[in-house]
Amino acid sequence: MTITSTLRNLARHVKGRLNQALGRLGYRLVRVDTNNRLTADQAGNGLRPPEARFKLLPSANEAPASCTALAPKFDPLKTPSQLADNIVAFQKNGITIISTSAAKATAWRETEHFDRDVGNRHSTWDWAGNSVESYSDDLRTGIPSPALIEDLRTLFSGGDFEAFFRGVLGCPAKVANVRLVRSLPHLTDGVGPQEWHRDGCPAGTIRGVLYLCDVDPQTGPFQYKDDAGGEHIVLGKTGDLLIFDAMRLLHRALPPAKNARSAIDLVFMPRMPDEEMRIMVVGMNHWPADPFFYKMPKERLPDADRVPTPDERRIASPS
Amino acid sequence: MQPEVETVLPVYIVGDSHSLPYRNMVFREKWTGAWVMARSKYIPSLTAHDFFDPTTGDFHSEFIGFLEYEGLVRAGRATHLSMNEVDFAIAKAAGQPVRPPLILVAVGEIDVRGPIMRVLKNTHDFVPPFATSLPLLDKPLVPWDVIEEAIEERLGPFVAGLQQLIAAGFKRIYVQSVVPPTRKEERIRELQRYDCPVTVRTKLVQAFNWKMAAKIRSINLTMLDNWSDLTDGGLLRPEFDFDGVHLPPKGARIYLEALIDDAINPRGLVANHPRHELYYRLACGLDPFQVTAPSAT
Repeated sequence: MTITSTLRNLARHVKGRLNQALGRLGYRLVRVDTNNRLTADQAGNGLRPPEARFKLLPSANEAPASCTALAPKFDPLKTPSQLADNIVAFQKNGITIISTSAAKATAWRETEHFDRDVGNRHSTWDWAGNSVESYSDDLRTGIPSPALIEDLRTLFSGGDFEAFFRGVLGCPAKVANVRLVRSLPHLTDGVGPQEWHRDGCPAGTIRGVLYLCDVDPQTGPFQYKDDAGGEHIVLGKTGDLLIFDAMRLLHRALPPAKNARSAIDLVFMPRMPDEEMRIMVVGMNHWPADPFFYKMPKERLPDADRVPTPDERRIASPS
Repeated sequence: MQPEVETVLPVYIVGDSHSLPYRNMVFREKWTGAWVMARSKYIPSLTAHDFFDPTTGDFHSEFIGFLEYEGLVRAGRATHLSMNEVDFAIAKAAGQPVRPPLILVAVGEIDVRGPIMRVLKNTHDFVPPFATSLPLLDKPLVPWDVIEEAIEERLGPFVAGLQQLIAAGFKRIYVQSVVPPTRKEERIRELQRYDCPVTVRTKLVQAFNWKMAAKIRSINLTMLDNWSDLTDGGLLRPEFDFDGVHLPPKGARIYLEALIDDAINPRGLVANHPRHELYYRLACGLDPFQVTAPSAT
C-alpha cells in the first residue's frame, strides 16, 4: 500500500514538474482521451476545434423545389370539403382553378385603379420584392381598395378556403400580399413575369391569380410547364382563381397580343393556428424576409430625399 | 398608445484603416427613413492578400473574430441561415428580423501602396488598358502585364475569400474601391520613403480598382466606386484629402449611401429561406427542428 502510494505520488510529482517545464514553452501534457473529450465538449458548446477556428462552413439559402412539401396526402373521403377536388388537383398538378363570383370580379375590374408602374414604392428592409425602378411600361399595377380587401378577407376566411389551404399547405394561410395587375397588349417579347420563371417562393408560400376578365389566347393567359415539361395554357372566365405552386411549376403570363388582361395577384403564406386570417397589402413586395418578425412597409413619399417625420415612419406591427 | 420600438439597420464594415471613417456613423436613409448604423471593425495592416489563405481555407483571425462578435457567425456557420435550436432561441430573444446582413469590406490600399507601387516609384510610368484622363509622364514604361500580374497576385486570395463567404451564406457583401490617393507628394515620401508622382499613384489605384471591380462583378458582388464624387480632373478633391491616406467621414458617408441605394433593391437576396422553413413547420404543428415530414407529391 505504502509503495503503491509512494509511486503514485512520485508519478504525480514528475508529471507536475514536466507540465511546468512544458508550460514555460507554451505546451500542456494532456491524455489523448481527455483531449478528445474536451474537443467534443467544445463542438457541443458551439465552440470549434482550434484547427477549424477561422474557417466558415457552407450554408444554403435556396428556395425549395416545392413549396407545399409538408402537406399530408389528401384523402377526400376522409376529409370531405367543398373544394376537395381542387385540393386533389393541386396536389397532383401543382395548380388548380377555383371559380369565384364573376359579378364581383367584373365590378373590381371596373372600379379598381391600375394607376402605377411596377417600380417598388414600398421598398423596405424587411420584405423581399421588386426593385425601386420600374422595368416595363407594358404592366400596370394598383393598390386594392379597402372594399376589395374586405371582400377578399371574407372570401378567404370562409370554411371552404380554410379547408382548401389546410389541404394544400398542411396549415392555415394568410395573404402576404394582394395587388392589382393589368398587362397591356404588346407585340414585343415578354419581360419580368412574362418570361418563363419560378418565383423563388419560400416554403409554404403559394401564389394566386384571380382573373378580372375573360382570358382567351389573345388576352395573355397563364402558361406553365408540368412536372414532365409539357406546356399548358390556362384560359379562364372572369372570376376564375388560379392557385399554384410557383416553385414546382415553371410558369409565365403570356404577353397579351390583343386585349389587356386584368387580374389580382395574390401571395399566400402559412398562418399559425392561433393567428387571425389577415390580408396584407405591400405593393410590389412579395413576402417577408423573416416570417417571424417583420414590419408593414409604408409607401415611399414622392420626394424620396425628404426625411420622413416620425408619424410618417410609424409602421404597424404585424402581430 | 404603445411606443414603437425603433431599431437600426446595421451595416457591418470591416477592413484596413479605411474602415475607420465609418466609426459610429449613423444616419437616416432616404428610402424608408430607417436609421443606418455602421458597425465597424478596423483590422490593422489588413491587406487583400492576407484576407484569406486559399491553401488552408482560413480567414484572417480578426475578421472571423468580428463576425463572431457581431453574432453573424457561431460555430463556424452563418447564424442568419441556421436552423439550429440555439440560434433560433437567440433570434427569438432578440426579437428582430433575421436578414442576410449587409457587409462592406475595405481592403487594397496597403496592397497598392506597398508591393505594387514600388515597381514604379519615381522612375517609371505605365499605360493602363482603359481610358484615363491622367497624363503619361516622360519616364520609362513598365509593361501593363507586369502591373496586372502584381495586382492579380494581391487580389487572388481576397476574391477566394469572398467566394468562401458567399458559400457560407453571406451574399450581400460590398467591397469599397480603394480611395483616390492624396495629392501631397511629401506624404508619400513620409510613408514610403520614396517618391511616386500623384498621377502615377492615382493611375495605379485606378488600375487596381479596375481589376477588382471585374473580379467582384464576376462573383455577383458589388464594388462601390464613388471616384466621380471624390475626384476633380482625375485627382482627389482637396476637401476629401483628410490626413494624406483616408477619406474624412463625409467621404465615407458617400460610400455608405451608395451601398444603401443599391441594397434597397432586394434582387432575390433578402428572403431567409431557412427561417421560412421553420415557420412553415411550426404552422403545420410539427417540431421545427425535426426534419422528416410527410410529402403530398
